[in-house]
Amino acid sequence: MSEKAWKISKPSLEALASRLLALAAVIAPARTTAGEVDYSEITEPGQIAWDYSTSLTSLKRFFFPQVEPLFEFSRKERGVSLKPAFDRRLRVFLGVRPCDVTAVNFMDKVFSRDYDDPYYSARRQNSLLIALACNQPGENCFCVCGEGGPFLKSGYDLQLTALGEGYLVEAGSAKGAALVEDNSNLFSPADEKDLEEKRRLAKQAENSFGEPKSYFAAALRKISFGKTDDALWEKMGEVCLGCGGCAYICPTCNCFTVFDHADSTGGVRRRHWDSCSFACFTREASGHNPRKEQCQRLKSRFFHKLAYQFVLRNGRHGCVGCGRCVSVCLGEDPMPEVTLRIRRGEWAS
Amino acid sequence: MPAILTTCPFCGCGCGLYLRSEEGRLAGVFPSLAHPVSQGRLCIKGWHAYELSMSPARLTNPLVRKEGELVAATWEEALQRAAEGLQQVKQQHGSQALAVLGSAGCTNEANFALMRLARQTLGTNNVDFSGRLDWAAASGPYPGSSIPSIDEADLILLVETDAGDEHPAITARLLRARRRGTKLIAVTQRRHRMARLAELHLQPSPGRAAEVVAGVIAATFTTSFFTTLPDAIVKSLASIFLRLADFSPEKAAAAAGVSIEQIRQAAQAFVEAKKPVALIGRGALRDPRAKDLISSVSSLFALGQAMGQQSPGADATGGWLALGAKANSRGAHEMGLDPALLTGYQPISEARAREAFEAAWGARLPHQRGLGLWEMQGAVRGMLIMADDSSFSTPDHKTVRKILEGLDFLVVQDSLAGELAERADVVLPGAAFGEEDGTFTSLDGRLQRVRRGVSPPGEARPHWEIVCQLAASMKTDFGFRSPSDVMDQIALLTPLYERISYPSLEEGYGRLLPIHFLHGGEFSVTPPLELKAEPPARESALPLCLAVDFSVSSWEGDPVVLSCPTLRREFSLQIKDFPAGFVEVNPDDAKRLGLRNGSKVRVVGREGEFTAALRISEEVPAGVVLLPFWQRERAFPVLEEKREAADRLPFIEPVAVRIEGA
Repeated sequence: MSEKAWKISKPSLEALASRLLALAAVIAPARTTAGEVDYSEITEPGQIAWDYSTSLTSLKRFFFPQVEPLFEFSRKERGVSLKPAFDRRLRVFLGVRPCDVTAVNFMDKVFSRDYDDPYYSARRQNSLLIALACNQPGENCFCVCGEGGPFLKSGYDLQLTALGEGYLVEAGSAKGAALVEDNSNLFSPADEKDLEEKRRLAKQAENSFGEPKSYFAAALRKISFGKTDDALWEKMGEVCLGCGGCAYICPTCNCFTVFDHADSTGGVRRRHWDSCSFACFTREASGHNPRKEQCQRLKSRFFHKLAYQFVLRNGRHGCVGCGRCVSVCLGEDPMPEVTLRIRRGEWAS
Repeated sequence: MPAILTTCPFCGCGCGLYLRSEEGRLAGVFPSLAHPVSQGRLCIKGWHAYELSMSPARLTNPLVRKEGELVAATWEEALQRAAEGLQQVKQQHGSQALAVLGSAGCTNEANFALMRLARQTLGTNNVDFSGRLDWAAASGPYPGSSIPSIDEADLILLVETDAGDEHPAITARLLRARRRGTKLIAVTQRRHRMARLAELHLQPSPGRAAEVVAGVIAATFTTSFFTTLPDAIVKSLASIFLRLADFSPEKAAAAAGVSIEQIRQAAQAFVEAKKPVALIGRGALRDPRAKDLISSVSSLFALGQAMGQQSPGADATGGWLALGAKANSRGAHEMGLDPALLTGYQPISEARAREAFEAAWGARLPHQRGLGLWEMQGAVRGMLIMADDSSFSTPDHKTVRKILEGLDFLVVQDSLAGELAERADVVLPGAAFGEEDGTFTSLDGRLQRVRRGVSPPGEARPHWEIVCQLAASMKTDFGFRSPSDVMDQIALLTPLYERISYPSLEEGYGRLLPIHFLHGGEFSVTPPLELKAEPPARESALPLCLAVDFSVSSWEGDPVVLSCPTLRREFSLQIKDFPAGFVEVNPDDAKRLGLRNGSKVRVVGREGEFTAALRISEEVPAGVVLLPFWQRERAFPVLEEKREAADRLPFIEPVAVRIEGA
């Protein structure tokens, strides 16, 4: 949906950021103290690192934090009192990558499918996503295989594309269009030439990935129909160190566990990220563990990421191709390598 | 609040991670991609470091014992009570009756301040920490390698280590090295993951890794490559050769219980290597002959250097690394938590080193070597323990318990409640990870900042500050106003930490400390190799050998790990699965004995017996019964804590046993 398109100059974009800062929390790519780029809440537009390839972490934690209080509870004379902790802060995500926006759209489905998760929804409903299309993929990126980018077709409120001195701005939602209208003095209309240039850049970006890094079609088919060899999983299990990093860094992994931090008078219930790589993730109270071995856990993880039954349920497979698991994997089982091995049916490195 | 870069608080690898905080509490962790050690990867522990501050067992108030009960007190009152109690012991029994324990989990600054309090304020050299056990054998300004150097090695020798879950950042590098085609040779009693992945696995009898290394040295002299070396080089190696004159590769193989072919293959691989690295694990460092093993490895590398081998990595001057350290084991030791050493391995007995400290502190220091933790029983009446849970890491809990039972007065400074705090007369609540500024020194000597992301809960305070306040209560003003001040003094008094300051640590990711040579720039082999010519004794009635295994589940039951809810779930799995403990044997032995997996067995030794569940594992060699270290206490009717002669450090020696169904 690109019927609504404008242009904005760099200074005007900074001015927009300033206006947004007065209205909401602004989350944008920014340098850490060590100079690496991560999405963080900024306090002034100058902190935005516009020139980056991938942020250290995705947007997941802003909607589904690594640890979050769900509610406080206390013992009353009769019964228990509960005080839920919803986060309804207004937030604008500015300059975020398409793969991460795609992942947010995926998570929207997960957290609302059978049961609307009020914690997720409270955050999501009060957010605005302004994507920045990727003109140049990073070293580990494979969004083109994961259908997560490098340019978005939908799922954003606004999408920016760097065009020479400024940006093309496309609205993907009424909320996005309204933001442009409310700040119309900062925008100028875009013409067909600008849109043509954007299409050319998108094509160029797609072509710049070179050799395919992940082979989803074949992997999806094989894993969905049980056509993967257990010996291969055993081999891959041997080089999985069970750190859980893949699940934690993955923008679409959404498993969590719940702990009560309490004494006899009351306490707080928190949910923490959890990972299917961990030995006790599936351990039952009886002591039985259906996935006792690392290789079984690894297989289950990739089944959940790629099998058709989950594709049908979520509208897509569970990898947007951000490439973060490639750098974070403590062992040797990141998504692109695993899908390649599944496709070939043998160990490949 | 922006994420802060800090150093992981678990093992001694020194991985870099960012801590997030939200409304005054730690809210998450993510790795730093550019960090030279972790390179964007963390293990399960690192990913959960944020949980450390949310333990329900946190101490948040100073406590003093009144009429037998620990009750909440003000800081003033608690510090006063602590000072009075310690001074009273000093007046009645002298400063030799006082002792101080620091911690591998605390910063260099806290440990330095504590060491100063012991030596200056209390006047005792009875200063130690339980983590010294994993570190002592390898400690010293030795020519060491660095973790990033592993990437440049073309041969990696693993001596009683899998790296495994103990040092996952190293495990990750080993996997990548193997993939690049680097040769791995494992010398390990257990056939664990790395041994399976290695090109060559030599599986010695328990406690015989030193013999394997000596055998490889002896065999090196007979490789075809060696005969091509110039005479001058051969002559320079004569001392090593002479020591081994009585020890042929065949004899070594027989003593170690490995084949002579394997010894020769390892020797051949070693002479062909250009940049070898050896990693020495806890199983070897906790052995009574650890120093001998290290001297064997040093000899092997001396030989290699004479043949033209280089140390891989620009940072490294030597080819081996001792594993086994916790986050700041090395730092704690280098801060002078040793009865005989001041900071940076300077002997307290040396007047020149001591005088520098005396001048800086304006006080006279005791000259005599103090008592180490394992010598304190019966001699120490008053103690200050800063975040050191000795009972977790020392072989025999009983020794530590007896020391504690013999005390008239105990001050515990810790972030976590527990058995130790319950015994205390005064409890001083300290900061946990993420709540205190300071530095850690990794196992390969990388000095890095740890940073505060949130304030300690309740009344808890940073450890360095508590120590300074306690010293002030005893009329010694250390003059430290910040951890940075403490580091300035460390740098002033410690050649190894020379010119280090907080600003100098801000650039990049800390500093790799300069590595000194022990013997004027040349390798040499000082202690004689005490090699054993026989495999460990077995008897016809006790045909198996029971040995402690350090290489599996090394974090099971660790009190710090257990304070994180997710890690508690993961690292108490074996305790839950085997509430009565387990021993492991090889499938062939189990078949011969007619025992099934999971069956209850009686392990009978010369002196006593214990029962446990049986686990059958292909990883265990024939004729051996392995017992995970964290279960050692249940096996004490059979095992016995022994003491090393030089430093009275405790260890457990393999013993002959038999197994029968119970």
